[in-house]
Amino acid sequence: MSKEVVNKDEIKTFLTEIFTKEKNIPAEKLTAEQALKDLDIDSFGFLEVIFSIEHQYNISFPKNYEHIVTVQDLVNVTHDLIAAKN
Amino acid sequence: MKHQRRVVVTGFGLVSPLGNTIEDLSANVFSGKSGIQQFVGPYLDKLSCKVAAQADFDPTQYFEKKSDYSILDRNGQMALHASKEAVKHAQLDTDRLNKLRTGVYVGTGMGGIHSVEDGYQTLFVEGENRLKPYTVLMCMYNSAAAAIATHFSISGPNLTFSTACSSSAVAIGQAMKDIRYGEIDVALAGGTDAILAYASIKSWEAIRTLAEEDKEDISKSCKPFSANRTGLVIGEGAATVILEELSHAQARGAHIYAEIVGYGAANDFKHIAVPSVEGQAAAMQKALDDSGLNPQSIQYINAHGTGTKFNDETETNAIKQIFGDHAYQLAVSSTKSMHGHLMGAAGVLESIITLLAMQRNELPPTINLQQADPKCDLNYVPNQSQQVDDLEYAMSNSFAFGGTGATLIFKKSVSG
Repeated sequence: MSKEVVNKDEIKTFLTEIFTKEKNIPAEKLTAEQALKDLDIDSFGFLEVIFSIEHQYNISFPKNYEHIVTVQDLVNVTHDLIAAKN
Repeated sequence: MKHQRRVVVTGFGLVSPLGNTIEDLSANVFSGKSGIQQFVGPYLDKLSCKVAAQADFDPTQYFEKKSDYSILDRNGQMALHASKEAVKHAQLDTDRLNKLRTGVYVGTGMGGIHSVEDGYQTLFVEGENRLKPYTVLMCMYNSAAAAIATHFSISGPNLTFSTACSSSAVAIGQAMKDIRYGEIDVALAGGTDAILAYASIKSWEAIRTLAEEDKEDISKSCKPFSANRTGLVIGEGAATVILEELSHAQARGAHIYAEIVGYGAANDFKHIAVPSVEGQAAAMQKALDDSGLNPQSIQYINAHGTGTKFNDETETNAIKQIFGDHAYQLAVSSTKSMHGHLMGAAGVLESIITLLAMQRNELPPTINLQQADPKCDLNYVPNQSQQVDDLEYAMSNSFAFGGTGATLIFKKSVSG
């Protein structure tokens, strides 16, 4: 079975799409260092974002993801979870 | 007055198979129009019974943002919309309410059944291993009540009642009692059910109470009190009434539609699904006792009138037991012949229709009453509405699988 190769740019593009289309966050706010807690999303809204990422890449985030602080953290963790799956 | 604190209805809102505005509902009900048609939805070819009473309710037309409705099951979406309309209709300034003395009382028979089925479809059919994050919140029975209470920032009682087909009559009755006994001053009370999901419809098929399709005109499939009746037609919808303590309503100059003068809840214990004369009569008797009225005062009964062989004959006999000879003087109709059986929203929609009847001094008909049944020999307002001089006292019956019967009595004028 061939390995799924998804680079971080593609993940960032997908995340931007989710945040802008589903959560009405302007794309320009989604810089790498942007703190997720300062986006206008409540905890349940963030659960929906996680769900969309999990569904897209067929991965499972850990129950506790407090270590994911910035947009870049989210990209990195997603990338690592995809790599671990392969 | 029997009770020191009196409870009045000052507004209502709805989503129903006969329209989503009071004007449409009123025009359709009193002209005898049917909201029953062929079911539109998935798995139609697998349904033995293809007749249903669907509400024309597309949430995108009623909510500003997707996030306002996407976390709600259809039952919650309809209930929230109906409640917003009710608040508007009552001209209730929710910012000025004492929120701790305001309550939400919602009845629902099957809760977020669409979301339950969607979840099972995802797991069992599509083979996915995760569900949407809001699944629990959409499935839970108190989801609709929570949506209403959250929307209006209400901090008083937020209560959900699930007694099958009598759920919303119970919700209204219990809200009325909480106002009467001083717990609150204002209530948003009603019910909702969106049960037209595939497995849910199949479960109704299995219990063999659904009406057969009328071969000539599917919209005539529900025939309460008619000798050729074959069962009930399942429907969907939501409705909310605004209840207020009388002086609260008067102080703000609210229009008062009617007073709720009686409520009776009684259990029909003989069988979980077969009604008895004694069980149904008990609910009516308790409501009459609560009101202090003489039975001869009641001019009109909006019957439970499902259109099943069992219910309609039983309800007729229960009315005769309670009212004696007066049973032949009063009028009884089943508006389910037009809007179908809204389950958890049935009691509240039928209460609203009863209030409209009182306003118009016009009795809504039982349509499709095609063949007289010797066992059902009352005035069922057959096929056409009837004008009356002054409809002052009316009763609404709701009975249910599981046994909980609930009867409400309304009085039009608050004087006297």
